[in-house]
Amino acid sequence: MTSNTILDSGDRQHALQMRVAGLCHLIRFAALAWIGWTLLIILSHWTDIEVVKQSWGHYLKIDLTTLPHAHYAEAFAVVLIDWAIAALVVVFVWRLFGCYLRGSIFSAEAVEVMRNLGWAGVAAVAADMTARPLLQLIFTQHLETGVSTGRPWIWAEPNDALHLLMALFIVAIAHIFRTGVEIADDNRQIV
Amino acid sequence: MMTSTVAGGGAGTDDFKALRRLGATMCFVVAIGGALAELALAWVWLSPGIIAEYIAPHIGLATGSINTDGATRILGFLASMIPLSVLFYALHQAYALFDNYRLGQVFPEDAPRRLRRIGMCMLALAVLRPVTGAMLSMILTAGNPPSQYMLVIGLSIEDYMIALFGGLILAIAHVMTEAARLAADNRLIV
Repeated sequence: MTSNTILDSGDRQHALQMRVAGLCHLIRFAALAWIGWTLLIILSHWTDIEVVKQSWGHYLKIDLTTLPHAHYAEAFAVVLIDWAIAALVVVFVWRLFGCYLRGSIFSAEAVEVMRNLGWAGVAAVAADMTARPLLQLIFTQHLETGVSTGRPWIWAEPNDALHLLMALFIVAIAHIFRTGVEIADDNRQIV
Repeated sequence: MMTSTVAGGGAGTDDFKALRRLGATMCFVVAIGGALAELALAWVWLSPGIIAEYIAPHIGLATGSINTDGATRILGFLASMIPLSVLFYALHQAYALFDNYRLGQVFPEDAPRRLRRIGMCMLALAVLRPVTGAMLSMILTAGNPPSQYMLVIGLSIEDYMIALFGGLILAIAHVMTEAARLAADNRLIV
C-alpha cells in the first residue's frame, strides 16, 4: 500500500464534498428561500390592518371593521411566532447539510440533527394547528357575546396530514439511521 | 451499501429489536395513511357541500360559480386521483423501505434507491398539484355558460414546500449513495 493508491481521510472527505457540495448548497439555499418567501408573504399581508380586517372578516364571515389595534397586534404576534417555529426547520436543514458538506454522513451528529429536523417539522405542524383557532379567538374577542363566526373552529386542514407524514418520515428515517450507526459502532468494537 | 442483518444476541440486539418495531410501526402508519387519503378523497367528491366550501376557494373559484352534478364530481375525483396516485407510489416505496427494516435488514441495499424514488415522487407531486388545480377549475366550471368557463392556475408556497421536501429526500439519498460508493471504491483500492 502506498500513499498514491490509498485515499486518506482528508482526500475522501474532499472527494465526497466535490460530489455532493452543489446539491447540499442548493437545498440549503432553497430552504432559506422558502422561509424568506413565507416571511415576505406574512409581512405583505399583515402590515396593513385594513387588509387583515377585510380578508379575515371575509374568511370568518364576520364584520371586523371595529377590530381593536391591540387584538390585531396579538394576532400578528401569533403569526410571527408560528413563522419562527417553521424557521427552526430551516435551521436544522442548514445544519444537516453542513454535516454532509463536512463529510459527516453516517455519524451520530448528522443523525441527531436529522432527528431534530423531523421534530421541528412536527412542531411546525402543531404550531399551525394551534395558531388557526387562536387567531379565530383573537379576532372574535371584541364582538358581543353570542355573535358567532360563519365558520366552525378550524384546527386541522387536509395538508396538515401530509406535512405531519413528511415530518414523521424524517423522524423515522433518522431513528433508523441512528440505530444503524449504533449497530455499526458496536460491530466495530467487537471486531 | 450492503444488505446485512444482525443475528443472535450480543451488542446491538436491543437496537435491532427497536429497529424492527419501528419498521413495523411505520409500515402500519404508511398503509393507514394511504387508505385514509383515498377515503378522504372519495368523501370530498361525494359531498357537494365540501366541494363548494373547501375545494372551490382552495383553487381560487367563487363558491357560487361552480357546478357539482354527478358527472362533474366523477371527473373531479378522477382528476384528483392523478396526484394521489403519485402519492400512493411514494407511500408504496416508503412501505417497501420500512418493510426491509421490519424484516431485520439494517443496511438494505435498495434504501437509497427507494429514498430517491420518494424524493422524485414529491417533486412530481409539487408540479402536479397546480396542474390538477387548473384541471379542476375547468371541470367545475364546464357546466357554466361559455363566458363563465374558468381556468385558474395558481402556485402556492405549499407546492414549493413539497418540492423542498422532495429535494431534501433526494439529496439525502444522493449523499448516502456517494458516500457508500466512495467507501466501496476505497475498499477495492485497499
